[in-house]
Amino acid sequence: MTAMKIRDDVAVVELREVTKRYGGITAVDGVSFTVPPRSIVALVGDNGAGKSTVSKIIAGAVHPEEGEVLVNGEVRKSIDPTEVRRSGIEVVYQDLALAPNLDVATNLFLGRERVRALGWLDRSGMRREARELLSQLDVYVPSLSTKVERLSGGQRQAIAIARATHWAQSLVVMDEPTAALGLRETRKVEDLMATLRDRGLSVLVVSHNLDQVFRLSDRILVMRRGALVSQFETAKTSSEEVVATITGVM
Amino acid sequence: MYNSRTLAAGVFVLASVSLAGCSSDPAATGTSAKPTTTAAGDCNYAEISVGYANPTATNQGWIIINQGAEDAANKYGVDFSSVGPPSDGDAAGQATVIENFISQGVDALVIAPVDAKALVPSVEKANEAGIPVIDVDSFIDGGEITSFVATDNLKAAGMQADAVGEAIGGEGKVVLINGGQGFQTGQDRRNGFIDTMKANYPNVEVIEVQTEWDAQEAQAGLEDAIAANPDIKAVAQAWDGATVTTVPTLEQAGLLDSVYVIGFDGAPDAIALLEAGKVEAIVAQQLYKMGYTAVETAVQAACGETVEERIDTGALMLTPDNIEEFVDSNPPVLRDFIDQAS
Amino acid sequence: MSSTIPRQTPGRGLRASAPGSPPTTPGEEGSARKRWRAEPPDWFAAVAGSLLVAIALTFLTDSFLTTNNLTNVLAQTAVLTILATGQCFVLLTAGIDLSVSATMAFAGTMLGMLTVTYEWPVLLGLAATFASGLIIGLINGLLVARFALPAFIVTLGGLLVWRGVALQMVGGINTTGLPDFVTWLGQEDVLGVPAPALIALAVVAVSALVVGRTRFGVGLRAIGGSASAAERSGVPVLRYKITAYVVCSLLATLGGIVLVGRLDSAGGSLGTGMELMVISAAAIGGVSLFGGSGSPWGAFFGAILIGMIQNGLNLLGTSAFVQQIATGVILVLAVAVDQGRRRLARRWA
Repeated sequence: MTAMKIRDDVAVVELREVTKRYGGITAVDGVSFTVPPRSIVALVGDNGAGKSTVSKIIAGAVHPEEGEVLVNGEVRKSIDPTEVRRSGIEVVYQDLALAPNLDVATNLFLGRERVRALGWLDRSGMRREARELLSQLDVYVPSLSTKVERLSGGQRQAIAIARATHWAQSLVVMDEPTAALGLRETRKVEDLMATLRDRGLSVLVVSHNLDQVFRLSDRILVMRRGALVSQFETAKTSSEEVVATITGVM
Repeated sequence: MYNSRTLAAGVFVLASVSLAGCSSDPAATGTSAKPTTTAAGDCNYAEISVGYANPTATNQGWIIINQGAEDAANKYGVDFSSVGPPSDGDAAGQATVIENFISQGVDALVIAPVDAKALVPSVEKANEAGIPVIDVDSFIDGGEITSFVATDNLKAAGMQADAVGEAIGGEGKVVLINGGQGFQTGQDRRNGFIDTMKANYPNVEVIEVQTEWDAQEAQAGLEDAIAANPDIKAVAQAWDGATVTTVPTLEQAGLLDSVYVIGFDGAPDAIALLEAGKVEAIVAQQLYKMGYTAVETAVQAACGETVEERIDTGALMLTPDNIEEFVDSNPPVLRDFIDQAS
Repeated sequence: MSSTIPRQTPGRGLRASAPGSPPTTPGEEGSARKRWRAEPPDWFAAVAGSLLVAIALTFLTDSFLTTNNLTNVLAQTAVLTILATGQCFVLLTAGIDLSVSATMAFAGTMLGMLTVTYEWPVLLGLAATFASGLIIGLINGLLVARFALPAFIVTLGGLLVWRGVALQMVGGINTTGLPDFVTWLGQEDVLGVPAPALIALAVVAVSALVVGRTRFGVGLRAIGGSASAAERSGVPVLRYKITAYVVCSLLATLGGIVLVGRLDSAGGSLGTGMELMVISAAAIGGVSLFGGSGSPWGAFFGAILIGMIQNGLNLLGTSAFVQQIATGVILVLAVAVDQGRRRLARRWA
């Protein structure tokens, strides 16, 4: 992993007046915020508020009509997945983007396989790296050769996050990472998210789960109908205040 | 399920199919009225139209037959249209071609069927419309056929057997590579060979290889037959597609010089091998004559003349001695084909 | 109800692992044998079937187990193996190429026409032939990968078009008397092994390495499992898919050249209907028709099995119809066995 200096003085990601329209609908309306380094930022809001679209814009899957996206202080020009990854951003998609027919180790390196001379895969090297990664993150799977489709939902989520963890150098974007998981698996995933911050990375997580948001995040961004209506320091707010902001009472 | 992409793909396929299948032919535009005949032999040929449903325009044997047909039409000056099915072996497609001819009001139909039974309804339709039907090369199993113009495969295969029997001195093992037995042609060529061999050279043992007219099957079958019987003395083929592939097989086994090879059909590539001395004999169909006679008979029938119900255009035994004469007696296009093939 | 939920200090208290030693992911799984027992390889059914058929034939006829016959079988199945291996690349991406036999016919016809009728030097003829195969593959690949047309339809169209073009090109005339180099490829023996068989073996070996040990191979399988996952993970899906179709067509071209060398006859009717055998061979060899799994060795053993059945039936003198029936039955059996294998493996995992 090539070291990328995590700068403490510059926001990992910044959005400036970002707007995205789909036909007649304004999904994201002039949104501006920053994600500071070494922090977990939660993006909350009701259905249709625009949170997923924002996370897709940051992930480079969607191109905004107006506004700018800055990564590590530089304005992003192109949005192909390779560029996004080169800027150190990793994405954990809602459907995980894992190849079900391939095993754990292969998935961890999918698209970025280590090769030896002449292009032969360095299978033993990758397995070693994978084993180390999973043990560091305390993730358990029956075997590195197990096909991903045979893992439980929580295990798959953990692998997807482990992959992001391994490659991310600035930010990990997650969309509802624990929505379909049971209690124990949710806790496990939250551990992993905290580990990311320990490693100096930032996390942007879209979540419906306010308990989780308050457990993990440093900052909460509330969206409503495409607009960013409020930002809170998690420690300085309460779940009632956030809920009220989401629904628009306040 | 149906979206623009599938639609585009479907159009692409349809376009390909129609491009790949259409055979060239001088389009018969104007339809003619029924020919006015005052007496037999006093026919106005220019007013006659003949529709020829050919089975394929891209098989080398058929090219010669079709050439004969076209030349006859030109000689008589009749309105002539030669159309093939959209794809080789497409019986339904051929039926459509025939139906189109009938509705165009042709005065006579020449049909070279791709299938013995499937074209029967088309023949019956022609019968209802009072159009005489000439059947070429393969027998149509039903309907009223005015005349069947073809090689007598039984007789020709018998010629083949006699040639083999004589060449190997009346005894020994012989490999017979058969064509598809679901087809009259395949059956006749097999039965003609085996029955004649049994009758005239009973000491000859015939080892049969079954194929569906596929050259690869013929080669593999022959290889396996040689493996089981290394002492064969002759190989007879039911069609020349197999003759050509027999040569390399025998060469590889070191048997080409000692084994008597006799083909069937008279295809240009086999003739080339005969000229090169690698094949000993070919029972050649009179392909050009077949096509010519078929259209000639059709014209006669359209004019109301009575014609023979079964016309055997015969087969010739081609050997290195008479091959030059044979090629010369055929239209120059045969020499062109032989050159192209080798 | 408490109004705030205090934020936990990161790194404390939430670990699911108990104070004792938590379960860890096993290291490099012990031995290949252990992996085998958990899940026999894709081509297992084909190998097992081949052995059974071979044993049966040895009893049924003396002519089977002879060097001569066995080398014949290798030579006879070589072309099928080469085509089936090419098909493997495409099948892995959950695609299909129905046009392979037509491409083969086109290539063979072109080679015959150029080198026999027009008497081009053989290397030039071969180069032109391979170039045409490359173009066909590019067309297939672009239509499927770039324009997202269903592979089944595109290659079905190709099946009709390329054979028609081949026939049209030479007016249905088959050529014979191909250059020595070509017939050498088709007929020579090298140290007692027929050249076509060596070529087929080389093709399979190299392909197996590419599929199993390169990023391209991983990418192909990922695309077959989930193209969207592959794309988002950075696999160059478009490029890999096109390459798969190109490889398939190039191998079909090679197969055509070898076949024409063997038959010493080139024409548009070459290998009519063979595409179904090709796909059967791959399927029998455990290459999934739904994409994502399979290996060129599977294609190899599938072709051998089909070839042995045909050879056995020839030696026993049965009709061509019986061969067709037998191959069809074997195909269904093999796929059933393959499905059973996958289900068992799932239960044991």
